[in-house]
Amino acid sequence: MWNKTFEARTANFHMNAFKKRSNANCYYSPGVDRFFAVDTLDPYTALEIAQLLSGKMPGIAVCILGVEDAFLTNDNCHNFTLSEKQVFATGASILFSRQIPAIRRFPPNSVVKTESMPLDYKDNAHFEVFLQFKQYAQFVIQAWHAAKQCDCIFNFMPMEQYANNFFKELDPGFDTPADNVNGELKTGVTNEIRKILYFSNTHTEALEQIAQMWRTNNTPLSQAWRTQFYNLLEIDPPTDLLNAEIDIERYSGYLL
Amino acid sequence: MEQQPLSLNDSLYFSSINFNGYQNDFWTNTYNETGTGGKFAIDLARRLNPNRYVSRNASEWTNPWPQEIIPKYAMVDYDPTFNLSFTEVSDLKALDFKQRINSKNERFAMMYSGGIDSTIMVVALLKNLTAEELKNISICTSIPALVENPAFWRKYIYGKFEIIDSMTNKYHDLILRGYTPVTADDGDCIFGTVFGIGLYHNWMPVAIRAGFTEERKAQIAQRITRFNDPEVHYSEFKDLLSAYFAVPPNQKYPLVGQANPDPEFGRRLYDKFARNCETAGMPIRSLHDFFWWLIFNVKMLNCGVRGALYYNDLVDPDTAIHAIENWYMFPGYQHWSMNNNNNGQKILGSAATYKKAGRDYIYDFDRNPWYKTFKLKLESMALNVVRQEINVDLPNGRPSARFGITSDYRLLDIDKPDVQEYIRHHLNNFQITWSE
Repeated sequence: MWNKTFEARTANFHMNAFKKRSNANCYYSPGVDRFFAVDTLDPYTALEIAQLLSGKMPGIAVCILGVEDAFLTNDNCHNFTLSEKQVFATGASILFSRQIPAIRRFPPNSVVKTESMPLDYKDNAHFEVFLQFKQYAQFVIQAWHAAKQCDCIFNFMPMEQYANNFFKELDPGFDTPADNVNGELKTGVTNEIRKILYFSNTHTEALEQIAQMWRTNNTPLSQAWRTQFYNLLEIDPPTDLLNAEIDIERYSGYLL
Repeated sequence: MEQQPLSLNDSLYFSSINFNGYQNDFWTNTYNETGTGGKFAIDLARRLNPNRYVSRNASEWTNPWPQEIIPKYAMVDYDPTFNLSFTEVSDLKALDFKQRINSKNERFAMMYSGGIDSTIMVVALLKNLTAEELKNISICTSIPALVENPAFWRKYIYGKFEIIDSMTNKYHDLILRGYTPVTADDGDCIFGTVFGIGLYHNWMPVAIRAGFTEERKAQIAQRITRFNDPEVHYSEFKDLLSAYFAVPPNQKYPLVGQANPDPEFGRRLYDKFARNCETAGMPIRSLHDFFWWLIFNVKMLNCGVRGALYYNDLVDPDTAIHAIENWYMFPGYQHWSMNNNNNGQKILGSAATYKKAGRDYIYDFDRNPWYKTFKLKLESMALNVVRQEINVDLPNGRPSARFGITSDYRLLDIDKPDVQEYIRHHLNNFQITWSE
């Protein structure tokens, strides 16, 4: 379900030439010495996704590959590794001494196919955990892109972002909501999804928490927002949300 | 104290047919039960939500219920000999504030959005008041204002004025703290309306939807670029305007569309506006005149009082309406507006020349070419109001349930049976007298 790359609906947002290449960005685990995910989307968000996963998997390296490199997919990427691991990224070797993810563009032919998983991860419980992580990582790629795309479309006045980016020294202490959803949530929909993705362990757990967030913030603006979020993920919203009446206790923007 | 029930003979100062989510069911049910005239009034809200249109002078305009104009908002008489420039009027307005500061130590809270209208207010004060006098000026604003004009904020406001967060301070906060709140919400009314600009530059989809012939489209293309030309009368565009005013069949929330909107509505609304223009008491000629008159006359009341009625929960409507100062209700601006049609002062061609006189006034002060050349009109106030809690019971009732005020300033709640009966009665008896 979550292994789509160029055929995923989220890929359409980018209008890039990657529709013929699934692995523009490859997510590498130094500890396992294998790739666990690939995507064809923008590299800046790929680094954010690595950060979302960094509480579970330390030292993730997002490797930006060239067109000459091997063609890997989310189904077979764990059969591949880096050919050259003495690469420095964020002040340390790609292999150790990092918790925070790194991103690097790699030279041609940086990826090699392996015969099998390393011994420690071969047909055992470790491998099962690795596969669980792999599945979750592929979900996070889609979910975080969907969340960001929705934020671009629906967060029409991201005050917190502007205040932080441009007015830190010129702000006398304004109220700066993260978005205009105007529900119970004070941190903002996108920030909340980011936090859920960081702390959840499975896509089921994350989706349930996200659904709960929509339930408690079912305002006129959040309705279109969440519809698009689920649409981009290509899954149906929970039935109760589909039929939920909008909470008009919260202002929709039409009072004036 | 229990409020006196609304009598069918009571007249209103303000009324609001508003699809705001909370009131949708009431208006939809009422629509289905009322006659042609009542349907027209509700369709007007569906097309130009909300329907709060009231004529400010003796020009022909009928409302469903007995209607009076709040004296503060009555239009000045047209004086074709008026010849002050926009700069002179703006400076005069600031000098009025100067006098009030020096004579009675009045304190002003300027509602500043970073848009052209509110920037004009601040420029006028910065130009005409001394540093000592400016101590009586506070700026009530929020982050979107900084975003609209960051350079102005950094250079002229931050660190120089007391700042009040408009997101967390409503009008009642300002009034109760002894300020005179000053709003530029009525600024659009002296320049025109983006409702018109939306047609000048995007008329083709309207013509296509309405099935105009290629010949007619070519005629419009040739004439509409002269929307600012008194030689091209607005009535030349009657068919286009009628199509533009029609109720779209598939409106989204909260403007729930009717399956079968009245196909004659667009023409009837054109006839109503046109009749109002014909009886304006001053020349209304070009297409921009037509739209300008619409907002200058029948929409200005809404621009003037909506802050007092929907961003104020504690101060009674009479006090709030009179405590809040509308910068552009200053007679000088009203006269300027009536005497500067079709001369390039209100708009040249593109949307980024709208409010040309105001842009020039600001530029003469701050020399910011970006703002002068590119600034667009935004709905600034909505960014604040979008966050307020609207269904809580407050001294002035629920903001989302407010329907209007009577001519003795009683606030009317849509949930009250007497108010509902009043609305239904008058909608049922409302006749379309201006059109076939």
